[in-house]
Amino acid sequence: MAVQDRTGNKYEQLLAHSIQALGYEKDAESGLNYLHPSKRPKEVVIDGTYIQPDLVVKNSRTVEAVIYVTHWSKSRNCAFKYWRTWEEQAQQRVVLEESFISINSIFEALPEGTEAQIFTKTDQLPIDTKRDGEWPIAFRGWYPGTTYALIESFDVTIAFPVGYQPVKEVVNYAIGQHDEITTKLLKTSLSAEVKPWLDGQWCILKEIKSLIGGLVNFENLQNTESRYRIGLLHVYLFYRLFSKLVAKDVSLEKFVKTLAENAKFESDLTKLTKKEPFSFLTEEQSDYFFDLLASIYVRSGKNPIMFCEIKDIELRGKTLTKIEFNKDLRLCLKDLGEHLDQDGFVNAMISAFNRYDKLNGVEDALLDLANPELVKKKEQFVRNKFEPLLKNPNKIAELLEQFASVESDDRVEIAPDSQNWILEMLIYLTKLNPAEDIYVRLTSEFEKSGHSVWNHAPYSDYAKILPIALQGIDLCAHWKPNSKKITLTEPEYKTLVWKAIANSICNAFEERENNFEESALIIKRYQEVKARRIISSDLNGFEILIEHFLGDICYLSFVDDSDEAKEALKARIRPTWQTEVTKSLWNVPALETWLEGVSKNGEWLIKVQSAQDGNEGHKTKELAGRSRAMQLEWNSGKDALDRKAWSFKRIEIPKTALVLDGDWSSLKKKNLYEAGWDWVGDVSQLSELRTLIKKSD
Amino acid sequence: MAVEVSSILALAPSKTLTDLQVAYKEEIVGDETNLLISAPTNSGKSLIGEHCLLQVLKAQKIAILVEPLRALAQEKYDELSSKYKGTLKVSISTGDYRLLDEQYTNPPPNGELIIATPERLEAIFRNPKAQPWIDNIGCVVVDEAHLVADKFRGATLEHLITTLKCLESKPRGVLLSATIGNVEKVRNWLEPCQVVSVEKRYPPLHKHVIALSETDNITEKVVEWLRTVLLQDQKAQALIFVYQTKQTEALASELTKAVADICGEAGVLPYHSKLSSQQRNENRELFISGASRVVISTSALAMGINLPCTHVLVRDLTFQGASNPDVSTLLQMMGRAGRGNIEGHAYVLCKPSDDWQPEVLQQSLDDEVLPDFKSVFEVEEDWRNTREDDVATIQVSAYLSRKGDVGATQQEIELFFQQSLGGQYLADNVAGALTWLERHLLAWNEDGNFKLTVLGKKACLSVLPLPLAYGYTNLLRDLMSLDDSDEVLKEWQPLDHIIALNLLHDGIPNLGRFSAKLESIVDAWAEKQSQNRSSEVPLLFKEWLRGKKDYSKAIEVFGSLNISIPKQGKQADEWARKKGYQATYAAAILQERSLGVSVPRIEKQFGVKNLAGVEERWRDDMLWLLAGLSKLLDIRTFYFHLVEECEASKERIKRVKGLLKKQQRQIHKLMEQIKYCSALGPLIRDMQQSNRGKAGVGIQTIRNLEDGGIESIAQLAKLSLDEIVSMGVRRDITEKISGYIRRRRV
Repeated sequence: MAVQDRTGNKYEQLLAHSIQALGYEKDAESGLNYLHPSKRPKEVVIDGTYIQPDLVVKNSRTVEAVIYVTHWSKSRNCAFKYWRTWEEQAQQRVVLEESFISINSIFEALPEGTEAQIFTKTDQLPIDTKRDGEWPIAFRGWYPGTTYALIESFDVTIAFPVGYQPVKEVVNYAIGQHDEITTKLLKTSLSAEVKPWLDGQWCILKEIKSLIGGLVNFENLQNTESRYRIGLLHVYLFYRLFSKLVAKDVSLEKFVKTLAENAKFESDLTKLTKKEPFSFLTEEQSDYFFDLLASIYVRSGKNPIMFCEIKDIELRGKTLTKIEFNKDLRLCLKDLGEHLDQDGFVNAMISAFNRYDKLNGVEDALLDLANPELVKKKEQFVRNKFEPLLKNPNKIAELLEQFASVESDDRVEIAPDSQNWILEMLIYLTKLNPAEDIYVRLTSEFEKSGHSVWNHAPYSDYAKILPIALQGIDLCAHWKPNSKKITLTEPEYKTLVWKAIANSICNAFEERENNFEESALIIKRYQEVKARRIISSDLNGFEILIEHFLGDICYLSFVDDSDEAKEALKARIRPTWQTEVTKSLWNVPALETWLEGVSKNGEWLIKVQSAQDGNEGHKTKELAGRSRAMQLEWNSGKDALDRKAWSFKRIEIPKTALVLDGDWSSLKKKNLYEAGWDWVGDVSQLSELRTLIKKSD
Repeated sequence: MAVEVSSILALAPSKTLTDLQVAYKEEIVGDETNLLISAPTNSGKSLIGEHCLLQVLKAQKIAILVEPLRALAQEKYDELSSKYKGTLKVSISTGDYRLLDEQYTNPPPNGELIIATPERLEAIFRNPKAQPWIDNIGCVVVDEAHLVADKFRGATLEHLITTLKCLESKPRGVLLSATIGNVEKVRNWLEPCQVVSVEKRYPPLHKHVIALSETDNITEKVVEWLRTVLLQDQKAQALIFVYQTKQTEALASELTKAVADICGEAGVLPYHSKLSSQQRNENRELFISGASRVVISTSALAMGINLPCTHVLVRDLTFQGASNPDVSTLLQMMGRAGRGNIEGHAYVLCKPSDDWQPEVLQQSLDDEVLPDFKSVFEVEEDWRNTREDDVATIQVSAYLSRKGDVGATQQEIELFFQQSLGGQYLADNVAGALTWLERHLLAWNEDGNFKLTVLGKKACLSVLPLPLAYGYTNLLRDLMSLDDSDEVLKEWQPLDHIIALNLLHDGIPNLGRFSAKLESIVDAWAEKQSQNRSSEVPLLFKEWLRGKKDYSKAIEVFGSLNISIPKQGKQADEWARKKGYQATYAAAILQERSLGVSVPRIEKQFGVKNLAGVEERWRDDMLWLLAGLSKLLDIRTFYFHLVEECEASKERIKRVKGLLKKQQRQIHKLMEQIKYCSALGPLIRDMQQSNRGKAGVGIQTIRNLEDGGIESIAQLAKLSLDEIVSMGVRRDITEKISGYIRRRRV
């Protein structure tokens, strides 16, 4: 999920004050002026584009510059943000006649306490002293390759340090006041030159956009509203848990059919449980099962979503119980209900569910959910072992290390799960929050030993230590065998990790003056986490449909593992010109696009994309950006650093199809088509795609 | 119609035209295209609107003037009905349930020139049966049209204008707006549209910022300013804006003392939304007559106030807990200064703690940057975060209501919303709205064609909040599922309707927080009810709501009413219990009041404060909701549920039909009581109905009888003719009452 908050507005305000200070008047129709438009997506101030710009600097009606305001904190998915920002520029370049300066202002990008700076080329970045060799630094929250691509693909990049003080002061600025440093940087940026070597790409993209207008009738585009990915995860949890409770083989087809017919909106639960297969449940099982489902938070946060809601109303000894499943499940059931009768469809579901079963921890989670007595035992075990020792971190560390082994007799006797339920229960028992209580202490506790966390933690990320410990994975599984930076042996590292975790838990427990949690609440929390483990997994049920409709004519990454398929599927990894640039300049290939399928005739590439909770807007920008970039070939000339020699041409690639799941408006689809996707549709249109692929044989 | 309308000059009282009117006369070609009049206050827009309206009356068409508030509609009605007495049928239609016996979605029965609120007119458009009336509309003039950007009323106004624009009969639309900076946008929206725009104010408005220092006492400064203004000119009258209702009262009282010698015999008067309309009218009359020279109002009323004055003072620039007024809001308030040819003077107090620097504020006021005409959906606000049953759902249901049994596809609905000013937001949300309507049994999908269900139609035609219509009927459906003998429906009490509405409707006034005292008052009241032969404890309270913590089953009712609870577990139970007690408390108070118990007595009995301030609006809201509710209580609303879910026999369906009719009668009786606040209310209604509105029995008769100690129709039946006459009732009316009672064997 994108990291975006209201702070963005403060960054824009800071820049807007500086633009005013440079003599630009807001919303004026003549002279130097600028726009700082509302973020409402449908009132985009630049005609023909889909993304509201942050700030547009103009001279009369001519756009002089567009300012992109960015901040990001999660390196892991910084590519998403890159594509969104680049797509915004691409859209504007494609529709605007004038050649404007693109100014990308990136906040929270440089180390705290440093000065805000302008970059136009990656060579200007300081060298990263933490890395071996001559590598430029990466911005905070961005990977190196993405950082380099950012700088190379915009005319000017203004990077601000973490916690830039004037941003905090901006709310108190009266008219006329501004941050002088920002103003100076903006002044320089506005007088910078447009990079002529980037121009070639825009002409190609303009042509792609103009051609698509003649091929696709945009008037006929329909909105998509489907929930295959998230919905199938609901069905999986529901079905597997049900089967475990009734301890018999239940027909998936019958199960889905009954639900699809009876779960439209509010349903009478008593009536539902009289229908097969739900009639297999005893009254006690039924109460437990549906109460458990109703207690599952599918999404937590400000507007939590439950798996289902159960309402009772009692009158003079009679009770009416009604159940309402959440929208994701309802929409999915509706769609599944429409496909159930098709040949092979149920088998595709079954094989997808079998794949889910293999995911680490899923089987354990299902057992825990189906067996409350087992969870009670686990809770009692942890309480008995650990409660008396909370003032003795050394002993706790010893026990944690002992029980961390899946062969630990005591642990196996209760439950042979691969997941480290002992550590998990301990966290709930002490009422601690991993992020606030344990992560923040872990580094210092570890480094008291004199060894560096950075050098030992998985992927050099201390925040990954605890999740790996909880998943029951070998703590050293991610070590590189010959790394020179590792200063501990494996046993030493493991002991130290358990000691650091134990110290963090004991100290936090003491500082917070916590009491031990009640058993019932621990069990509830434990089960909620297990359910969410399944619901929020990366498994994509949406792929069932792709496999069903296209499996015989396409190689699909989530299905095929034959050598032939592996070879063919290499074509699904598409480098972009940004990949080539970052590779040529700094040997860091970045920003490739991975698709999910290749047609067996080699004529089509298939991308599947599921999104939810309004994230479709971000995904549209990203996918549009990726599509545009995939179609551009970059040539560097003899020396990649000689940017004046750069050139672009259109690259011939197979046709690209994008299959969507979630809420996608026709406008978003139009944006995607204009960006170069050859086919954009949803599950209900897969037979159409199938015909197109077959036609291209 | 016998009014000369060949030229606007003929309508001008002084036979002279303002600059704006001259421009209109000279520039506007023909009388068919839409029209935008953009000009400051006082520039003569109303007369242009009047001229446009009168022009279509020649062709036997209906002319409608849309005023944003009921109070303004009433003022306009008074003015025009007096001006055109004997020559033109002017009528008012605002859906004021306490005053008018009109169905909200039926067109007003008569009138060539109709003055209506946007909500009322939009409601009529929902009614497919009103189509012939709609087809006959010749012109609609929308006053204060810039209010499309208003957070609360803008969406309805925009929907109304879009609907007018899309009507096949193409009535002329005339928008009267404050000066705006983007007339082209409106011209394009309303194409074909002509524009007359004037920016210069006449009479001139002088704007001043008074900078205060840290040590200044604000009230002293206000007194000083007021004294100077009132002494300078004997004819000067001032309007002071503050930001909170309660401060209007306090400041009026302080200023009355401070400038008693010069503020007029009626003193300084408050004018705010919590005054009853009668009190507001009285204060307005006192101000206009000169008996008071100063009125204190709230900034929220700046648009709806029509109190011509010479001076305005805006006291507050910082609104604690709310968004501070921007320049255009300040100008709206300041623009009230100046009348006729007399120049206006408007002042703003600027404190060091305010966000403004005095000189910057002065510059901004002088620059008077023109605001844009924009849709409320374009205003900086994240509409996407609104609930599912939001404005999109309301407007989609209104559209489907208009389509009647024909229905509409999703695409057709989207196309309609794309015709609106900022309605792309709505177009994007049509799919979600349709799902919401389907899920709440208000609409159904017949192979891609969406139609309202019986429930949906009734809810829309009654302009009921949709979650309320669904919630209430859902409770009844649950009870039908639970109780196949229908005993519960038989035992349903009038107050059960009120309690359920109190729980379902957000607009019920908060008469007091939950407390042990409130709980004991309600319990004691219920105890008393159960001992009283003529009344019973409401079923909802008896079966579910009543009970101490952990014993009440209130949460079950909330589930059936589909009210979301912002708590979990035990906290949710307690939250629901408290809300249940508060709803019962409010219902009990309303019942007492509707039976004629005086406000002071109720305030004492129930420990409630400021009932007088909220009662009028509350009663009006309740009458609106009850009127809608009575429409829902129709066997057709529940037929599908009874047949499909309850597998009901024909006998049961017949029985339920009878019980729903009984509930309808309960509601009608309740409405009469609430309307007149008297146990004798139903008598008036019945007599009026049986005499086609000419019974001569009215509120005054009731008040005379009540003053004579009559508290029920049964008591009245025992009196002789002379005894009734002795209470001040006319003999002919007494005879009618007596005859009526005798015939009905009361």
